[in-house]
Amino acid sequence: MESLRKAVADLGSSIVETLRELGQISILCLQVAFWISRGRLPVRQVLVHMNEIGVNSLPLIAITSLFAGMVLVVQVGKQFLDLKAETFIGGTVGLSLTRELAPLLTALAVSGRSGSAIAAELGTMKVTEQIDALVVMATSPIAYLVVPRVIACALVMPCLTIFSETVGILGGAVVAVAQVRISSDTFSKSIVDWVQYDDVVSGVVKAFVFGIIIAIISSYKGLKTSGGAEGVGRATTASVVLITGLLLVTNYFLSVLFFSYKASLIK
Amino acid sequence: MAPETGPESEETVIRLENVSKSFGRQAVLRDVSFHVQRGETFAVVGPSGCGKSVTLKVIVGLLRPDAGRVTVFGQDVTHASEAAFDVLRKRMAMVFQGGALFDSMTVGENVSFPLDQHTATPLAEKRRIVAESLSRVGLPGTEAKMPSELSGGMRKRVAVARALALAPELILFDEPTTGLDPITTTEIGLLIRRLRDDLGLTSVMVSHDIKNVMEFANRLGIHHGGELIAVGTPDEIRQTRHPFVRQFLEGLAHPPQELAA
Repeated sequence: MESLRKAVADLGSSIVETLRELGQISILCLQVAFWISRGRLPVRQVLVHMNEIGVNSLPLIAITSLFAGMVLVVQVGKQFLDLKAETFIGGTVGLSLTRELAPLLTALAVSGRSGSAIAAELGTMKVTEQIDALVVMATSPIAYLVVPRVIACALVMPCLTIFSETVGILGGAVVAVAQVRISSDTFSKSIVDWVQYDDVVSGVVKAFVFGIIIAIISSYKGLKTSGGAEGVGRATTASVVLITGLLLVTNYFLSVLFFSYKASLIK
Repeated sequence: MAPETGPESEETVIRLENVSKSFGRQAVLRDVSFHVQRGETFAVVGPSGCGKSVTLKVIVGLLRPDAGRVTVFGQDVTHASEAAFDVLRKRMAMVFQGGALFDSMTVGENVSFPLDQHTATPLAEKRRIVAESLSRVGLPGTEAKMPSELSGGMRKRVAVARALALAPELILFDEPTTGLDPITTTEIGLLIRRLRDDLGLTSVMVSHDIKNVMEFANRLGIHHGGELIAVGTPDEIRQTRHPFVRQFLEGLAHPPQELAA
């Protein structure tokens, strides 16, 4: 009886804690929106973070996307060839990448690389009282630290996603031509026939939303850090775990949204 | 000696009246009252880890009191909004225990940060102010160094230089001498005294270094068990017969026998 009571109490307190965290994240989103709406944007800071999050992530995203595109063709190429459906290979690769894989893989790579860095940097600033120092110097940590990171991440993610799509398709093309032995014309014609403008747009919109999620969650976890170096480690891990979960859930709902929108257009 | 609230006057920069603050079940401040006059160096002294810093955080609005009233520059800030507090924060500065320098910026960028944020000072003038602030704390020509290249004492002095950049009326020091050698400790004490004598700065410091405080503060309050058990000038504190004050002054492991009995 006692253990049951404890289990219910634990469940209750974890639900309350989750709701509290969701509330605090929502408040942070509103604060960021408030500071952006005030119009005085820290352009220099945004550019610095765009360079850090964007340009410096290019090698990682190139490798991730290249091999994702290649393995896609390895998996579908032979089967499609057996079914005499080789004209579908390029389209399948193109659609998978533009709609789902490129935005999600890019977001996961950026979250692992830059999300964790944001959480660790802000977390260290929190435990060494640098955040308090900002407040005492009448400077909002949200405006000074979070807003430029959110804007940079939201702007850079669509660009990285388009880069990822391009590299992924190139990787797929190499395997299709070299291993599956279809012509590059067949591959590229298939992509042009299948992939439409709104498939690319849906991927870009997803990337924009993912960028906001990565920057907001990692900043939130960083600003909430307590307990010295160990706390910074905990905050970094917690931010990557929460971002990964949120990215996958959000990706599902955004896909459903885009798919039903597209279906409504066809009707 | 009863904690006092002092006379009401325009010269009162800070006034705390019956301020209480708890974290969970632990009461860190209980009915704390004191005031700080313009141009005065006031110190809150007590053993390490008793929550003295909370007093400073309540004054700058990093923490809000659970009960009582806080007045800064004559304005009641007990429930002030962040925007209202920010107006007052531009007239004061705080030196944190570890310096709290921004470690992604150089010393020069750290010191000019408040100017960048709140003024449209031209670059040449900013450079002059930064150089002057750094000279005042005995670190001329260190603008290009990174905080990681500095020793603990130098970091604290750069933090003081940053605090001076906007020419504040009030500076709050959180453990200004913790972790420093005796010579640097005296240097920091002399620096605080110079700021008072040369610039007329009001300062409040929180410290466990009773010797240093007795030498450099005009008045002090002894913090024990969440309360200010004695407030007065160093001479008045020396004459107090409160067992804990005697024990703390003399650095004894137990209260003196004749007073504890």
